[in-house]
Amino acid sequence: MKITRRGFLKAAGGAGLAVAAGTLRWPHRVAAGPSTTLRLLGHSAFNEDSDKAIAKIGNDFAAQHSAAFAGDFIDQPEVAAKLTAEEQARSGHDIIDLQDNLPTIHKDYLVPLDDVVADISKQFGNFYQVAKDSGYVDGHWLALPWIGNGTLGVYRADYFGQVGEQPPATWDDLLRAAGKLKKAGHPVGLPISQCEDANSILFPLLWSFGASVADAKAKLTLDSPQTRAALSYVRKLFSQMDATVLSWDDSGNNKHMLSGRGSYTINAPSIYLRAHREKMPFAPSVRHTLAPSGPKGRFFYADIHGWGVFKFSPNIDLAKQFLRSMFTEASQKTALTLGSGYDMPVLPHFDQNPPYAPDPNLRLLVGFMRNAHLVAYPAPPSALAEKAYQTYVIPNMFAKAVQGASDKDAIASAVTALTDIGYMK
Amino acid sequence: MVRSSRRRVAIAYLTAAPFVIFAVFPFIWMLVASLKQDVELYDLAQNPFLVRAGITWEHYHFLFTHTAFPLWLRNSTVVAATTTVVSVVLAVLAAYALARLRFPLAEATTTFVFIVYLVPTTLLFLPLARLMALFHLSNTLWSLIVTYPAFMVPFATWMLTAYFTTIPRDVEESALVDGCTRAGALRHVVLPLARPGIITAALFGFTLAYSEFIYSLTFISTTDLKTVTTGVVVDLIRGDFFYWGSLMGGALVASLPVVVLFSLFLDHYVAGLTAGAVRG
Repeated sequence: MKITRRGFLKAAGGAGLAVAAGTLRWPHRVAAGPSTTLRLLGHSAFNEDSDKAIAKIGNDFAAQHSAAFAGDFIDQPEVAAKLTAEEQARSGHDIIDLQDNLPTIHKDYLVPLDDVVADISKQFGNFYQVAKDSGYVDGHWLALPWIGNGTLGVYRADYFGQVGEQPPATWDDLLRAAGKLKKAGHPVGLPISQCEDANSILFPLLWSFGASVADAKAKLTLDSPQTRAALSYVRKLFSQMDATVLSWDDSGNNKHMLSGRGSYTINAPSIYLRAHREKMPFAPSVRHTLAPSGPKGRFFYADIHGWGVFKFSPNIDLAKQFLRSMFTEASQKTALTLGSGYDMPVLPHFDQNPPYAPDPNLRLLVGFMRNAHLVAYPAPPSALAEKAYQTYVIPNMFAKAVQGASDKDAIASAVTALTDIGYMK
Repeated sequence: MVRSSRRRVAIAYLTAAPFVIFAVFPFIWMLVASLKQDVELYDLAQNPFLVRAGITWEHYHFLFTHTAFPLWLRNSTVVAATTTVVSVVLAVLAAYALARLRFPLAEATTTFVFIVYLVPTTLLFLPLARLMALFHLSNTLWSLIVTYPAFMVPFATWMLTAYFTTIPRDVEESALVDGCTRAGALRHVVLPLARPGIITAALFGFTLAYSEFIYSLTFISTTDLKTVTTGVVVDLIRGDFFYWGSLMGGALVASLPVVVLFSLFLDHYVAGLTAGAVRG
């Protein structure tokens, strides 16, 4: 049977009308359901089960309060646009995911949660300092810290063994091993590009050399001999890595390791967990170690995710009750079990013996938050620090340096970017 | 004669080949990546254009059974089709008025319509988000159907205004002299002649609506109501893990409706573009 264009259009048009009629219900019908719906916006974690944990806690809570729970999880980079739109609309989710410095940026739209935090702290003790750095703004808790994501050195034990090296404890160890591993065809790989992973690696590297973007009073301190030492080190390390690290996105170091070629990177436990879940042939050789230490010690960066409640939410009291329910023994057990070590507790109370602790490769994460910092360190969290993070000032500085710029030029370009953001010299 | 003809054909194909390769490359890439097993996808030593370890359908299976991809596809098609119909109807009326009717500031209005199209959606989504909340349309497909014409109508109007001016006034005036009303002349004379232009505007409009991202991201939260552009990106990129196979498969399948539409109306589309190109 010959299908004519007219015939096709008639059939497609008819089917389309039928589908459209079923799809385009009026808004009041879409909104039909329980009288109160608690709506939460979260970031979609690498670990899908992390979202399921929140949904389970939410649904259990809703069932006990004759309400409905709607958890929407979106890719982290898209969260900022969503929050901004909802703030302009004065409408949207009741509870929102606020990462790191975001509470300071959105503070005008957030309900203080001092009473919620007081209740939780009374029962379980105080939050880790890094969690407080994120959620406590201008004398109030504007975000309830929920979980933290940390980074570890991820290495291939077989490749390191082949070149006679131990997992690197210091940056110098890594540099020495990197040369051998490159010759063996299994280079180390750290992103020096515009991605979150680059921030999470290069900020602690700076700190470990005694350098920082700003001091405790938020005054610029980047132009320093310590920063020059860090630049010099990364130039040497870059010469032992693939040049592609300059173009990696957040999946770059995952691919580097999961391809079976890479020997080392620094990342959240997603590579380790993925290799084991997919039963990749080399999974038993993928191991964790602490990120290297530098001349001034070992420093950790952590992503802190907390919950804020919008002032325009029609369900503020219910939202606060829900947040309290997220900090029970049962809720935390659900979150940390399904979180598989990707999500770590922000309360020391739940960090004694988390469900993932029996795994020696994840046990390293126990107590990680005790020494972790946000990117603003040693300055207090601020919108400026968030802008520096979001515009990849530090990765850009290192990228310039490894591509031939002098220390002076690389640092000057970063300082210019930071002063443009609003940092004071 | 025959040799000369063959040479012409060969030259034509050789000339077209780079453009065809350029146009088809993304689709080939998406197809190959979507059929590879994860192990091969991650193996940097493998040829990216070949499937060496055997074809797998697991990425498509994941896409259709573990995500709301069919719903995203349906939502995108419904929203794009509806907004295209609405926008083209409005644009035809506006473009006809701008091209044919004499009224003060007609040219300035035409320019203004074009400038409106140039306002980036990244600026518009904030006030529009407020409007959607006021109308209680947030998190519904209606929020997209109401807002998409904001950028589709100016674009289609600008395109159709140029097309209408290529249609000789004489034909239309003959109809008016013969007793046809202005609306009748538009309906029975101008629109049939303008069909390639209208179809071209509709195709471009559909593509614009179908590929729109920022409104869809900010106005829609519920997974089942997402459009394919946001659903695929937001749900298949999780932290630092990208579901590459399913992402490529999703992008490939999502492009099919647009490909089908362009294939169906290719002759009209070419006619519409060339008519605009030779406007005197």
